[in-house]
Amino acid sequence: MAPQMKGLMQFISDVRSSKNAAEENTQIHSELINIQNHFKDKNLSSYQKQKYACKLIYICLNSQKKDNVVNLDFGLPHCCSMIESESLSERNIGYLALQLIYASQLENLSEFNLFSHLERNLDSHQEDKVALALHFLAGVYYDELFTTNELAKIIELLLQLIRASNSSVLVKKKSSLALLKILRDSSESVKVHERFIPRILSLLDTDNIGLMISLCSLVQQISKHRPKACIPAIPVLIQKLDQLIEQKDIESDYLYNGFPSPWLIVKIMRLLETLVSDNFEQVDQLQIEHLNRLVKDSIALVIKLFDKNDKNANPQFKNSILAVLFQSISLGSCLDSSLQSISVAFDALGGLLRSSEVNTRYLVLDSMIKIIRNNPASNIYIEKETSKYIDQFFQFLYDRDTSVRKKSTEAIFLSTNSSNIVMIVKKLFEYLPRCDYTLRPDLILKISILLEKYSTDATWYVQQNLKLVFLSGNYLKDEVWERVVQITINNEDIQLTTARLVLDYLKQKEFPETMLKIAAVVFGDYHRYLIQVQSPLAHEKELLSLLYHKYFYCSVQTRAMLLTCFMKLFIAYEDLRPRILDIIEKETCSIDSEIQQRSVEYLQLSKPHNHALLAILLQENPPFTLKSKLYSIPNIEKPPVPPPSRKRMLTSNWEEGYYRLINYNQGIFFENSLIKILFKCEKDRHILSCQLIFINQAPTDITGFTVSIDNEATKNFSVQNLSLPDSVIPLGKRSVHKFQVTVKKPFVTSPLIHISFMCGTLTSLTFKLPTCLLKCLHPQTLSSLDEYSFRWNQIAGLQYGEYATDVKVKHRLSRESLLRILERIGVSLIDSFDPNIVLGAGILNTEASNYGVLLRLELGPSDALAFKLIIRCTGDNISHILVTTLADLFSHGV
Amino acid sequence: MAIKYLIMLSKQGKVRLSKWYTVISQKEKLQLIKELTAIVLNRKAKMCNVLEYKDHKIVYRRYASLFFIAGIDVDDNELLTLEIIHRYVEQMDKAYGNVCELDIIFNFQKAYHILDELLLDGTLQESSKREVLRRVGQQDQYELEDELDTKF
Repeated sequence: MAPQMKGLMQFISDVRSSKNAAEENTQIHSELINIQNHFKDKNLSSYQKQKYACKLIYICLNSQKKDNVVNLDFGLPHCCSMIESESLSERNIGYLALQLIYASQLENLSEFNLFSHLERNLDSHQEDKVALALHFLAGVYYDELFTTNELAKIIELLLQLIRASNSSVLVKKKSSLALLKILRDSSESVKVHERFIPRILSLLDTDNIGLMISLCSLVQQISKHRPKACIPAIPVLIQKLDQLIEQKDIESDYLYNGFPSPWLIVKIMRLLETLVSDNFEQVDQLQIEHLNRLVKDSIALVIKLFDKNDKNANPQFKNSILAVLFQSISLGSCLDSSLQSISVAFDALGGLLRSSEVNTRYLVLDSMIKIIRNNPASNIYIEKETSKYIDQFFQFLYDRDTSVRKKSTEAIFLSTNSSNIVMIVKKLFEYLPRCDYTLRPDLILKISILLEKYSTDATWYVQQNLKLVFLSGNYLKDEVWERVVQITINNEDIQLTTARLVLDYLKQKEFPETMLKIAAVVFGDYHRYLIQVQSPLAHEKELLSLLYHKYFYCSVQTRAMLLTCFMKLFIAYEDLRPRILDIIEKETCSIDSEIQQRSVEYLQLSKPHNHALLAILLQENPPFTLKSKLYSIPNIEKPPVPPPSRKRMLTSNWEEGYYRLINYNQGIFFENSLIKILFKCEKDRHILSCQLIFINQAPTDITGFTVSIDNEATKNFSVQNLSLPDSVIPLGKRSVHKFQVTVKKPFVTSPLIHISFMCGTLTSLTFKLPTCLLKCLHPQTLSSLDEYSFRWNQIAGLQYGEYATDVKVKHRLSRESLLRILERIGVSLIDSFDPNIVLGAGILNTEASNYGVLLRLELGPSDALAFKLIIRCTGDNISHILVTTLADLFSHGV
Repeated sequence: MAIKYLIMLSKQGKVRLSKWYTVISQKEKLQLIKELTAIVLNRKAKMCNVLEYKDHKIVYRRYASLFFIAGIDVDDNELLTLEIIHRYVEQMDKAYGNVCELDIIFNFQKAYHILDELLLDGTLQESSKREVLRRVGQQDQYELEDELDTKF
């Protein structure tokens, strides 16, 4: 236990024992004067400085009420000087005061250069100084505190701290979180410092769980801005998750009630969820499967633990395993929407739905809602699962806890479809009068959206909506009744029904004002249905008195609507005219200018010579073309649109291996002092089975090894990983990556492969894979020169069938070596009877179709460094791709 | 995914500690504290520890006379936030030695230090109990040394 400052304690207890606010104020102000006096003393001891700073903090924390603002500005220079102190506890208090009292004044510091202070301290050899500076950095607001250059420098320093091999784990953790704070405050920094992303990702391969927790949060933030750049982290994260869930080698410090660090599991799962759902197409199928397996294992594990310990487990244990369960389900629902996976999730949740603990019930509902939302509305499996639980959802509408009631409303809302709408709306109407006032507007809105979305029968729709209007009183949004009016006006066959229903409601003793608004429109236009000669439902006088009855209790808007309705009746029924004129005349003296204006105008129009004009003005409403506004209410969050990916630079010297392996089907692809990469390719029509062999040539182990192949560039080929290389390649050992490229259609750009690994420092390499279109060329033997000529002429008609170029080579190539190359790449040669002309034929296989390829080389004099290459092909533009690749190959000096 | 703010509230509605991890004006802070006090203090013991509030969620738990309230994002994990609060309380308990509300009032700087070792920018920094306590203990040690320095 640290020593306590007696003076501070005394002060606090004095303030606390004050009898009233005035006395407290006096205490505080006299202490402030005291502190001010002491601060003038240059020889204040470290202990005293701390004491006074703490008193200031206490005063600040306790004066946070509007009427009691104390000016503490005088303490700022002292607190600044404290953070320069050699005493760590003084520094600590100094930083605390700056954060708690002076956070908003830091950007105006003139005498004290905060930036150079931080720069100096981040560079310090004393871990504790660095740690304190990092705490401070993670706790201030960056807006305008530093210039762009200063901020860049700070980020640079933080990155150094995160990566430096001599930083302690403590410093690494804190600097990752300080960096996270900067990224969160200024997302611009991610753009500027993009190149640091791979280096941070490579650090994830650590065995220290504390560090991993901090790094995962940092990467999560980065992935928000650069989802693509974080893809290489996926394999490492999966591997770590595997370790945690399968409970291998976890330090006992990180077991929480016997369960491996739930925080880390949840963080990794969340991060993977973001990465995988943002980049689903690019993530390898094997990895998805592995992840899916882990999700299922962790669900099973939690349920097993839960069942075993249900009665006597402590709440901490239950909370942490359930937290993992909900996160697993959330991750699972973005990986796989098959029946099996959905029912695994629902079964796990369904068992917990009856839990006696309110937190569990609430979160189970929440989790179910997430699954339903993550899946497209058309998913029939969801419908099947939710139908099992719908009765329980309805029970929860009457739960003791508001949070649960609210969630169950949401769950019911999402479980509704056109087959259960009638039952659901009926039950919701039963619930409506008993619903909390705070939740009512939301419930009403939900019912009206459901009616709009799933009603198939217009009469039923109007019936239910009027019922909704009647039951919900003043909680109704305007959109709802406006929509009822729109639907009625647009559907001739329900106008009678609507008018009748509204009439019935108006005959009730009490009805909401909204009903009168609907009546104003409906009766104005469709009074004729009610007052038919044969079987009148109402007399026109009755109609008028029903409408006028509550006129003076209504808002201005409703009155204006009613006035218009009266005028419509005025035209239709002569016997009502004196009564209506009476009403209008009274309103010409209304205190509301809108009503007054309207009635004066109507009064003028009611004169006999204006009747024709009035009839035109008050014609029946034309049908609406508007769409419902209810749909525009955001219910489901839209997934963020990922920004376009950035082109990566190819590693220098990539050409040599690339062209070598276009020429040959196996050989050395790349080599440097750390690693040697061999490539092997087997061609089988349009399928290229490839192997990359990575050999560790470095003096130590290679760790954190990841490869990824860009699969996105074109839809014309697909890359499927058959087996991935190990993440660790021990000294002198090798690891194999097998994959298969399926060529669907001709394509121009070869796929890129990204390789990154740790070996002392982070190395990342990017190459073009030699799996170009040319690899799909296979020899085709033609019987004779005549056949060749015949076909050659046949293709001549094609617009983009031919392409020719002059190829320049670096070194002289003999005719023989040229022929060998051509045969190697898949051309079958035909004797042309002319030594200067080489003819060949091949067939190009793609999944979509096969193309005939004819090749013609016109050689110059034997010592010339150039020749002419012509290719004709039965498909458009293919000859261009092939000629360009071949010309590149030759000119790179094979 | 982080805690937006952490507020320690006594059952009389006095703020004992508040830490803000998002930019928010003084006026809004006071407003928020006022509203949260009204909501949280009125909840009964067996009610849900999670509730939706404006555009985010609050997770709270009561320990003796103190309410610990954390504001988190809608998609954040609620139960683990509860456990972070629990971790914080456990750690204060160890560091102060059987902590009570008065300890926190009189020695508030320590409560802030412990929090800084557990959370940075609202994000969990270390889940190991021992690791955090080691750091807090180290700091106590320095303070002790400082005091000795000034005495002699």
